[in-house]
Amino acid sequence: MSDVREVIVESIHRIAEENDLELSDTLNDESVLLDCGLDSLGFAILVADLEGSLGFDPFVMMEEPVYPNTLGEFVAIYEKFSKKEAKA
Amino acid sequence: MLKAQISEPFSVISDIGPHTIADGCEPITLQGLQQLKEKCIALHCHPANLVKYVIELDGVADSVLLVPYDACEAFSRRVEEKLNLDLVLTDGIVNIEHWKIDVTDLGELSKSSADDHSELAAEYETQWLLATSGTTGTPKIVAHTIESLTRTTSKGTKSEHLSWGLLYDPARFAGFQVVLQAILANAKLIVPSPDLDFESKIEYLAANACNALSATPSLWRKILMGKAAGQLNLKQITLGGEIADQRIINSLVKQFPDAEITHIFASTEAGVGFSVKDKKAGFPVSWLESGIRGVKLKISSQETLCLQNTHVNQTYLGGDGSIADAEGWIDTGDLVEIENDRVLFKGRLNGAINIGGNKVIPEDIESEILGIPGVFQVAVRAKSSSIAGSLVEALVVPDPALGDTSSLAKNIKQHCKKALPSFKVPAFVRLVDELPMGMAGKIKR
Repeated sequence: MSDVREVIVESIHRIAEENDLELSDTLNDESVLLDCGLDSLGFAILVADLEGSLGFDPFVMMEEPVYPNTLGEFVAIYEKFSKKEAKA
Repeated sequence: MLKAQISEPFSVISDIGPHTIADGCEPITLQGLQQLKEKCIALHCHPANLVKYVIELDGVADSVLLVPYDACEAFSRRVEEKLNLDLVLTDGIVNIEHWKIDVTDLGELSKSSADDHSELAAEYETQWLLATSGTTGTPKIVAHTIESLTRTTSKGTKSEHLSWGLLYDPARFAGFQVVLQAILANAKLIVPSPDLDFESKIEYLAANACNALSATPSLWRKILMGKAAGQLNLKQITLGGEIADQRIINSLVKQFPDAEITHIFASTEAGVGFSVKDKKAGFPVSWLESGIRGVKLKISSQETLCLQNTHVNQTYLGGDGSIADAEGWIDTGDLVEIENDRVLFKGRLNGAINIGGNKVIPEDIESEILGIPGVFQVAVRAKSSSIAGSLVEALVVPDPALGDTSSLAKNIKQHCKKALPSFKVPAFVRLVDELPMGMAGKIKR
């Protein structure tokens, strides 16, 4: 499961680099997504980018939409759906 | 007149101090108003002041152009060229350096004088001039009347306890709608400072007990992601400007189970079309037969939605032509499709893409990118995003002469950031070997 987290954190850094966004020094589970340096557009790019690298977009798949506040919640959503993907 | 419709004091809460607009307590003196009678005025103020002076000027001025808070020099040039403006009214808070015509400080018109107690007799149907969000950086100006703008506005007692938050610029169509809604319902209006970032605006609204809010679906997703969403206790939720899909409606129902949820179909060109309140995407098929509140609806042969508004009186100003056809039908350019008992929105006919409520013509961005060294061909299209509705994607074929393409994508983004408004900057730049072509050899977007 830690792979998903790594992919996400890597993606955040790459998108920040490509879009000239400055990330806060420490990224951890408590980091608030929209405060960590990614703006809302950066966040939308992140989700599209992860769809490319992980092969799914949980925000399209979820029946009950949930919007995460923190990085921890965000990772948890991807971990949950990556399990579903693996089963499918 | 708007002022006549305010039965109780109308409160506006903002960072420039709360103020109440009540009968007999006009910010502009009678003398001041006399000077403005039948004039064509550009109103360029802080949003909270703009609201205040809109009420003052309705019925007095011939026409009032609402100038967006962040209007730039290009905007001033364009409207000075197109409209026969008499003067610019300002509150001294905004940057007015780029106006060439006379600028009058509203403070000058508000100083008390002796003959202030009589009434200004004449009443005019003031025209309200609003700039479209603009596809090429050259906004089109559309004239409205208060009537055309408030047809679907509820004026009942039910809405009186609402405190409307203003997330849009009141000088834009969507923001002006919220302002009129609040005025006509005797609701409070909460105006966060336009200089705050988005999350701080939501916090400001929550701190001031905002319970009614209008935003685009993209903004609503942003609100739901933020921390302050939990502090909002909303009774009325309005969505507009983009397609409100079932997903975002469901998310809002979940977060705000007690709120009424309305999605509005409106545009700067057509004025208010209609609103849907049943928490379902699209609108009922039966409305194609029956119409809805004075608006007739039909689907054109091109599968776009057309509206016939019984109160049509909008025109483009400055020689941009008439909006409606001879029979009064306005083609919205929005593609629709019937699914079971609903008519659902599918996007724009002319290929314009909708980015966060802004209309974007792909060719505009393409021509900008084509000018960048190292770019051979480019196609710009919308990429749907589960988070932001649609984002701009640019497919770029690098110039074969360019050896190292590693920094090209970043260069393109940086160039666009400098040259284009933020919503037009491609979120994705993909380098490809060739562009997708259609049967007729045209680039497929």
